[in-house]
Amino acid sequence: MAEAHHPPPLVAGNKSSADVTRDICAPLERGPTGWWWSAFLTSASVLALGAAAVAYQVATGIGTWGLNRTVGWAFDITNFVFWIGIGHAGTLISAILFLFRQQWRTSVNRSAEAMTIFAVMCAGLFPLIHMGRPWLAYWVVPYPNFRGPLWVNFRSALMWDVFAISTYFTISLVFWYVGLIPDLATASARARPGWRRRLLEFFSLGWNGSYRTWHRYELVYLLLAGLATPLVVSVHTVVSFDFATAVLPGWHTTVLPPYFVAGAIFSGMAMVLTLMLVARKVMGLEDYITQRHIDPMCKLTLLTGSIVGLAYLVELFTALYSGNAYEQFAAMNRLWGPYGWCYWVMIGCNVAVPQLLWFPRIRRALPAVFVISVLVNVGMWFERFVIIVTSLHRDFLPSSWTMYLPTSVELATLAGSFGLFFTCFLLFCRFLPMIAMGEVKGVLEHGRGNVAEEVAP
Amino acid sequence: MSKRTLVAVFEHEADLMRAVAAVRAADLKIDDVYAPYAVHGLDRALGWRPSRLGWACALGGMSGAIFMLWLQWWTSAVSWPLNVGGKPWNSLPAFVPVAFEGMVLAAGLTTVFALLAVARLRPGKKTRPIVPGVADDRFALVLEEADAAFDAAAASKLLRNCRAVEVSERVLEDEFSPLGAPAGAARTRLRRRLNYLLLLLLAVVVAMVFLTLPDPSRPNREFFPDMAHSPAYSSASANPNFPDGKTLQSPVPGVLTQGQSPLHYDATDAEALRAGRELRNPFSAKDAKAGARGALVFQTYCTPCHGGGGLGDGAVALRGYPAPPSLVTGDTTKMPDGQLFHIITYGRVNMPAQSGLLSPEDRWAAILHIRSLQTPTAPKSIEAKP
Ligand code: HEC
Repeated sequence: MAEAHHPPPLVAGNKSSADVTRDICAPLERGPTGWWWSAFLTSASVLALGAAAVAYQVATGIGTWGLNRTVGWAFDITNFVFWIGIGHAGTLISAILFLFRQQWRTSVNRSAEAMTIFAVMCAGLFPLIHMGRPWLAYWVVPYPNFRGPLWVNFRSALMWDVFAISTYFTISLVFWYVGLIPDLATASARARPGWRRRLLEFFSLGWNGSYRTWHRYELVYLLLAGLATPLVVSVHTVVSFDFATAVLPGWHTTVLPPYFVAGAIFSGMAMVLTLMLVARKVMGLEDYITQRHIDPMCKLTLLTGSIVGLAYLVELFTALYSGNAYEQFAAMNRLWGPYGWCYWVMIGCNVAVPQLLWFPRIRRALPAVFVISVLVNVGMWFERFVIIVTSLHRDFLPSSWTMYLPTSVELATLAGSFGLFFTCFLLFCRFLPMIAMGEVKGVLEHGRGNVAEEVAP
Repeated sequence: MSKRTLVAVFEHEADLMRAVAAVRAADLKIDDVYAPYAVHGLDRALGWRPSRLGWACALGGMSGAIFMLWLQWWTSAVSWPLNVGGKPWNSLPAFVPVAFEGMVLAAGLTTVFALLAVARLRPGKKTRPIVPGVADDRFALVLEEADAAFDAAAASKLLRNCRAVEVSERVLEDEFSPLGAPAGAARTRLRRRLNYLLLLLLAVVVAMVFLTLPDPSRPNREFFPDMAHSPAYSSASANPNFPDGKTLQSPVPGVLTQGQSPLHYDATDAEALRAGRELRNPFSAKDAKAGARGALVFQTYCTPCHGGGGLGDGAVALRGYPAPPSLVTGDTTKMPDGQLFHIITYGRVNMPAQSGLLSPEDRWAAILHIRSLQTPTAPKSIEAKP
């Protein structure tokens, strides 16, 4: 009976620790494959396109965007919220699942955390460009200055955003790097002498595997996970405050913080799935990222997707129950207004499609999972667009009602952010151990359990 | 500090765990264990106390939160209180999110830096693995040969019984890790290069000091002017946009400034007579406040010509300026207030117009003072007042 319920191992192929080291370090040690090159060149050229668009709009001014008097936020903030949300799954996997002792996280946490960092970088770009004069971005920092000193307005949700995002980025980076240190030492011990080895050595901080250090390291990792967990919740809560503290119908609701946090984890989970499904194929890590990893990720996507669906319902119910004519109008306008089709794309991709993941057969059909994960990303992008643009374009004053259309510059900037994300991710796959070797080795089945019987007393 | 040790190498976690238990039962001193991953439960097997890094985390987090709370309160309520939407200076609830972020940031960074400090990890630190493969799949147990009673042979046997694949006696340099100083030559070369770089930097800095030597006749170079300079023209600077080249433009003729009422008179004697018929002094002779104001105005603007007592013996007149007639005798006593107001406002012959210098109220107040000079009980000049 016990045998029948024993789940398949997390890592397939009965790997030993030495196998893990060899397999994970292999992509670092062999030259880049054709796949890698073609993916890298594609994303790097998209990045270049985005960089050109950004250079043009910084030189010309943000009049190059399709924004107008009424719709003062659109593509920029949509993309910002989208990317920030993507990041959240990385922290969920690395911190929250660590606190819940979910062993399957070990194979995906490294790349999920890398994803977080790159996604937050992409997100940060948009408010920066939106400032119009990005070279004065340091003015958001409260430092003693000769302008009075003139301080930032700490009562503004946008200011909270600055602190939340920068703290999130820093802590994610530190968390990621702390996790990397032992693996950098492992990789540098194997690397051929040269600049790569010297770099790996430099950043492995003289790690020698002493258990005195491991002992402290375990506690530090736990503390960081404990800090990152409320942090990740706070970040998207603060992002939702950007909207919830405004008086605009469709923004001014208390459901926004939980709704945003769930949506963030939902979109991030989908992005992790997209990336992992591609990476395991391209980097040859099928033994490490198995059904034991994909299955729980699918279930988390399903769970958070259903929470998001509930939030959509609550939104409509609040509008109905409030008896407030403006709220009701905003809700109806979302459903049936000029941007109604965006709402239905969002409902289709975020609520309907993930329900397919109830079926184990679909969770095992990886191409289907891949398509679902991409659709969820599309849907979550539209969710932010719907929240922002449909609320803004029909505000209290019918005389200022208008429509918003993105310009080519905005589209190129969005594409460029994807270019930046994938370029960074590909470089990460190529130059750093993509899977946390130190953690995977701790959950291997190889050499465990049956050793005791072999030894005669 | 070096010490004699016995190093045993294991291939399996279970063997290591058993060896640790056996060694502790035999009362031998474990110096350290080296492992490729954090072996679960090993700290308990070793009987090590939990790390105290949690305190660093708590302290860092508390200081971060308190500092951010203080900063927000001080900048918003003390340093420059700005009215934002009528919210109170100390908007405590609005300060919670940033204080929270400050707490998390400080706690995280403090914990990690504390780890690096106590574990003596730093970028670029050189390390040699205690045994090959300890970063890969080997475990090493290091026993300290504390005293002469240590029986190396017996200990080796014990370890081999636990399936140690290799046991050897070693002298380790450092308390925690077998780190030797890196090869001398490479280090010297690195130091020399660093020296050259610093020298170059110094040269650049010195050159910069000379290049940017302050010229007292010009403003200093500003690297971050922030918002110190407005793009607008200052009122006294030249301005190419106006035909007369001035920034501060004079008002269009006939314009009345705020609070001014129009005077429809020409600067002629006939008009002065008409003003005498039509205008009344808004102040009564009993108005002490207006009287005091009039005395001040008269002393400031009129005495140079008319003299303190209004006799026409002012300092300017004594030096040759056409002397004005006495204000306390003769014609002036017979003129109505309105006529005097006209003369003061528009001027007459050598008497300059005062309208550009004095407000209408001050002119009327000055007239009040002239009248008080004309009445015999009045002091002859304001200097005579106590
Ligand atoms: C630059 C010297 C000067 C100053 C300053 C001056 N006055 Fe005169 N004022 C004169 C002269 C000269 C006359 C005689 C004009 C004429 O010849 O009709 C005169 C005439 C007058 C008269 C008319 C007297 C009359 O009987 O015809 C009055 C009233 C008078 N001044 C008031 C004032 C008052 C009040 C002030 C101060 C606000 C003042 N003046 C400042 C030089 C001055």
